[in-house]
Amino acid sequence: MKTLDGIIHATLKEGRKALFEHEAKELARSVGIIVPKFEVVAPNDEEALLSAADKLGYPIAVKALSPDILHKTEAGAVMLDIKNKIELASAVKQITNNISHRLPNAMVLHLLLEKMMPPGPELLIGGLRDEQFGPAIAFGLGGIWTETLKDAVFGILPLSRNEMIDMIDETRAGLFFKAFRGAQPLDREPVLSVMQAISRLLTEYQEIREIDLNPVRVYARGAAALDVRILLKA
Amino acid sequence: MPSILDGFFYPRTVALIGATDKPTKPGTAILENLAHFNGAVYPVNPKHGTLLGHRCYASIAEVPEEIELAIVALPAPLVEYEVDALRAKGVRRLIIISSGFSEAGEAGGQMQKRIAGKIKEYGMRLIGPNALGVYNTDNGLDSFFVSRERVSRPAAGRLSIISQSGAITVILMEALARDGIGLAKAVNYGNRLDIDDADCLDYFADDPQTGAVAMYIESVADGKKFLQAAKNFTARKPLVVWKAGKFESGAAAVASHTATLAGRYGLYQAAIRQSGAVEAYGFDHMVDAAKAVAVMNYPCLGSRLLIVTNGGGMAVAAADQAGMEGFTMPPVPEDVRQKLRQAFPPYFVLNNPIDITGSGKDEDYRTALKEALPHYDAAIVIVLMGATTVTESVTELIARACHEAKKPVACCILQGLGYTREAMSVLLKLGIPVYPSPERAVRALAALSKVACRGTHEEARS
Repeated sequence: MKTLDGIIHATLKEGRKALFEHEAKELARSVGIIVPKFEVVAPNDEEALLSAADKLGYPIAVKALSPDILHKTEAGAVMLDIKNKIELASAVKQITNNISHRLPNAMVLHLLLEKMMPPGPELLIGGLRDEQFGPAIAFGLGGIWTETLKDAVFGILPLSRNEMIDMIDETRAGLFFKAFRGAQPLDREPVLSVMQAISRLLTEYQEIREIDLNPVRVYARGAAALDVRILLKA
Repeated sequence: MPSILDGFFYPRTVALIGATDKPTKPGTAILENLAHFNGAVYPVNPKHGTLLGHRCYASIAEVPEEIELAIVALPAPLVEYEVDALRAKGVRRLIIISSGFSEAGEAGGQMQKRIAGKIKEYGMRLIGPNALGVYNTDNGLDSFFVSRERVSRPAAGRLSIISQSGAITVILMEALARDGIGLAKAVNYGNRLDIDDADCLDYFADDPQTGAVAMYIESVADGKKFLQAAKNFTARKPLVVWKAGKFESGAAAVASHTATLAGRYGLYQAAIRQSGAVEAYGFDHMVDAAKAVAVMNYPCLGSRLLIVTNGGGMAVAAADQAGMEGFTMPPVPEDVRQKLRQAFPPYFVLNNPIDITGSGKDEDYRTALKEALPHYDAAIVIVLMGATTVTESVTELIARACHEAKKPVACCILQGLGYTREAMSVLLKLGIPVYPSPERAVRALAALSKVACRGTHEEARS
């Protein structure tokens, strides 16, 4: 396994601005962020594909990784909730088809297989480096609501725990952590841990320009980053 | 060590380069305004022998005294040469009023760069260019090139203004003068070639005349420096910040959701929130919030709001706004209600709002507030001056109840003519901020509560 610094340097050396998703998740995991279990296989190795899927256990998600694809969903490079090996074969075929139509020049280097995670409210937790204010983190509603509701606030590092709580309280998404209509409030602690972890990544890796954890799914106990995107400084 | 800005606000001698008597030139208005300055003024312009009763000097070199502050109101292309002359004279501080620099395009930007180089090399300090400069009610110093006939100056008071925009500075001063809010000092730093937003905050944090600051920014010179200065400031005094220019897009090539959502405004909002300042969302909000923090001496330490009114509809509007601002309106406690029941006629409505109706008298306001306000964190008091049972004495009674309870009160008196205006100005003098609509009064109290909760909530939660 490559070291984390190794991942970043290799990415820069190859002239890529974004880490591959599995690399980004490796980095996230190194600072304690929970990500779904995953396996990476070569795009044409059917045997490896099936055994990786068996190892994870269905249902799984499959994503095609390519230096030429930044927005996987738009490229049709993501298939979700695959329940068995027949569905898996057709999902891979579908992805290959989609990409050859939508981005015919994109070269797929890896297939990422991931264990499906249970549903839950989706947050965006992110980070960026601003030329004026320096490293900053973001918190807000994630998933399909990210662009529509634009419910996100920012915090300039360093941030105290209370300042992070202020951020959560500023947003609509913050209501997930308060009791409403008799429902149990979700646990805020894992979210605060993710915010702290992103702060650490931004502080420790000066090469990182932007981080997106979107969606971060929140459960009664714990939170998991289903997608991690890390962009490096050019 | 006195701040750099001390010399800008308290010079003993001021030279005005480009003084004139042509009505359309900035040098004319500035010279007229400097008549109110209690230091020595030296106009400089080779075309005049005397101006407004001052001897006018042909060049800065001819001025016989040491000059502590030079105000430069020359056409832009002449400014860089004047900087050399000022240096030869030993002037250390200058305000460059002139526009036509970086804000005006490439050539102006080049001139500004050359001036920047000289300022640094000569060890000078500069406000501007493209700036109104400074206004100080403490000594009458006024470098603004707008005449007092056109734009009124507020009376002396506790609020100071820091503004990136000259236009906003001027209309803010006019609004404060109109509303009877006193001003301590104002500074517009324009293109902030040297003195910037954070320097001004640092100065006003130490300035004994300044009790609170209203700040207008479109951008800041250095984000981290601004955040630190604002944090230091709010540890000592309330700060209201209006960041305009909210929707310019961020970097063109952003690829992540986070960066797309941020723009610049998201980060400015973060800086304002983290600094403990109150964010104002526009001009009226800025004036209203600034009035509250500058006039009201008691902190708003919680969200329990009392409303006292002599007109039902206005109280309903106030209650709606209170809900939106996060206030709660618990009913008047039962023992208080019983006391008030005995004191008041049966048709007064003793919920929250307390409605003393159109036949409520001056003294009834005081009675209601005296009994109920101690059980709340703040109060909105609405007075319809049209009710014949209410007289001008109501203002004093409201103020007295506020000062007895030591709880913040904001008044709503519908803005009218003569009689009403007088009542409003009396209330302000008695330390009660007053607003022309219930919504604005509630929003101002909300601003006040944000000031207070920053100071206390770190401890409260830890």
